[in-house]
Amino acid sequence: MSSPPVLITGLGAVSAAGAGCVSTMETFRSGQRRPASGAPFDTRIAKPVFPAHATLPGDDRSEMRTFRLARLAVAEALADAGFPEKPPAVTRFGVCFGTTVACQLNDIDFYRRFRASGSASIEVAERYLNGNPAAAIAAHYGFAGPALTVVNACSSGTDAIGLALGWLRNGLCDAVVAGGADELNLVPLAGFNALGIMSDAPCAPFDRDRKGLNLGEGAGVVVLETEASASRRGVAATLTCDGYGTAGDAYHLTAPREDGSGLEAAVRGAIDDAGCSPSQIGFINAHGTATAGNDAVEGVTLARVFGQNCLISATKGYTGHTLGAAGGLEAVFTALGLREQWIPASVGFVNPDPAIPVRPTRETTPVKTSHALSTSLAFGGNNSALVLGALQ
Amino acid sequence: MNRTLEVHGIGVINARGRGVGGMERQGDGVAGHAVQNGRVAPESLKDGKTLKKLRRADRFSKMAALAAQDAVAQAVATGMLFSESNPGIVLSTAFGPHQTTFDFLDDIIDFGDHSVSPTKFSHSVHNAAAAYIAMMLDSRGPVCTVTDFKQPFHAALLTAAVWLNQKRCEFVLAGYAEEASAPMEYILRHQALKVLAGNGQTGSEHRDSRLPEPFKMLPQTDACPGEGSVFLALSLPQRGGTPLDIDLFTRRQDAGDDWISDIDALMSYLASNKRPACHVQNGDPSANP
Repeated sequence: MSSPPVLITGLGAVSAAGAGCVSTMETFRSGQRRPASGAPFDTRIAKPVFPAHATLPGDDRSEMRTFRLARLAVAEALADAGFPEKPPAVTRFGVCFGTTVACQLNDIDFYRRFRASGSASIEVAERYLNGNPAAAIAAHYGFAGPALTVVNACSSGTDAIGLALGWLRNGLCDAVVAGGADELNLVPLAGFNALGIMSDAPCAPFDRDRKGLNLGEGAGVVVLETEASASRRGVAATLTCDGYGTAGDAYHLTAPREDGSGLEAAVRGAIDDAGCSPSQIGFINAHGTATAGNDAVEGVTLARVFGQNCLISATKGYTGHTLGAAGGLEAVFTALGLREQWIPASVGFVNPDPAIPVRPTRETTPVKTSHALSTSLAFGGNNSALVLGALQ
Repeated sequence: MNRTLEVHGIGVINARGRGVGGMERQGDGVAGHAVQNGRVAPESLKDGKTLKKLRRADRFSKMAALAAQDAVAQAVATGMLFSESNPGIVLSTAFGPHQTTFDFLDDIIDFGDHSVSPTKFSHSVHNAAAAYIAMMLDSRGPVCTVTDFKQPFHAALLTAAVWLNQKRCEFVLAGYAEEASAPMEYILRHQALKVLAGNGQTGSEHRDSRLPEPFKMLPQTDACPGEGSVFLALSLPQRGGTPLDIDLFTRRQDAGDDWISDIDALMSYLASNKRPACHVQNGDPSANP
């Protein structure tokens, strides 16, 4: 690595696995999960979902739920980083955030009324217009640095953290609040159901009998910071964000390239960017959606790069697929694994799939490593990966 | 970090038609295209060769793909090995393919949420257009879609500059796309009128008004609430292209009234009820579509 390390000074997470990192790790340690039998809104689609179990800040009439989830995770991450509730302007903060739901004006009641009469309550639209996650977070905290919302579908959170890493390496700011957030919503629920890739049982990543994904919601946030900024504040970090890789499949809107070459390019790119080698990656938080296509391509590709005995944690069994939040949440889970040197059982995984050469963890597993990888694959053929590190 | 990039190609499609020439033409009709509400004329989207791989794509993706293709073609014509280098692709937008989202909502309302079109859903995702561009060019480089209500094109340029400086790719196609729709026009008009009313003004008096975030309206903008796309083919300097000095790397929330947002152009038109005029505002072509 030629440039100074970029530190991870704060972590924040909210999902069905818990409100906060401590609660999340307790859930992971227990190996228990808490899906709901159906969505928290009116729908005929009766599939399990993973709502976030949390009391959210703010007001649901004027603020999108996605933003409220983000606020909770950002507040935890900033506190974990040692910042006061309103960080001082001396630290030039940027915000880079991923989402899918918050970027769409998809309120069914608003649209139904507009379609019927040519007019509708503007309140919903104003909530949307004020809900761009990066802009809303920047406005809430008064951050004056770059603010960017990434909408790369399911890799949005990973890409947001990767872009933030680039900002810091290029001196655009001192610290970045980066990650992703998304709420449960009818449009993705109906869309994924129409695609036929949702399971009617709690999901089983990489399992032989997996039947598809479950949707979830949440927010995962890291505070990335330059060494100089952390040193100025007297903060000693133990985690680093070392590398980011991303590559397009140029193949299909909803399916990954079957040979996994796009994902492999992203993974190898992240490792190169981190200045390490595959043998130094102690564990991988896999995208692991529990769909037939994703897990097969991802499993074969990870085996090709790391060997079939690589240590893999698949955490969507606890959270469901949180779409734009997934990359942020899983980066936090990866960082927590590095910090505490253990990774959870991949709940839902029971029977190995003979077509997938790697096997995710089936029980809480200690690790002894200074590097770990988190992967994301997305609609549109986006493949992205982050290498995180633990300082010795 | 190098803050100057070079432009090797520009692709544009908007209500004036396809190509940079349309940006400079004035009036209500160009090349036989009637300009109505800033919409891109259907004939502008007829390009069977370019759109061969995009037959199922929606209007938003097609507009973006055509602009991207034209930017690449111009770069290639000047001798750049653009299409052979896995260029990065970054697409910016404020509202994304929202008409496709509304079409999907039509399905839910008309047929029920269990009987919707998976194709409409996959096209309603913001990054579908960028994915189509990557497929069209068979480019395996980084692909990113970003959204912002104030300065979406700025966000694309920022991302392009970071990628190029990090040497993630040798070239970047940085673009902006927006589509028009009745619901969104309703919302934008409502926002504009609300602010004018709050200022005790009517439409013709808007020039001294200031809209609150994110729709801050400035008097010097004069463009249509229409649709279209623009793409720039970019590299780091000294590759023989036209220098583009980007002094926009740090977006400031407190920049004050001299900070022109991409959306200002839309809003001033809505408040003034002017016919579409196609200016490039302050050198920022994203103000136009």
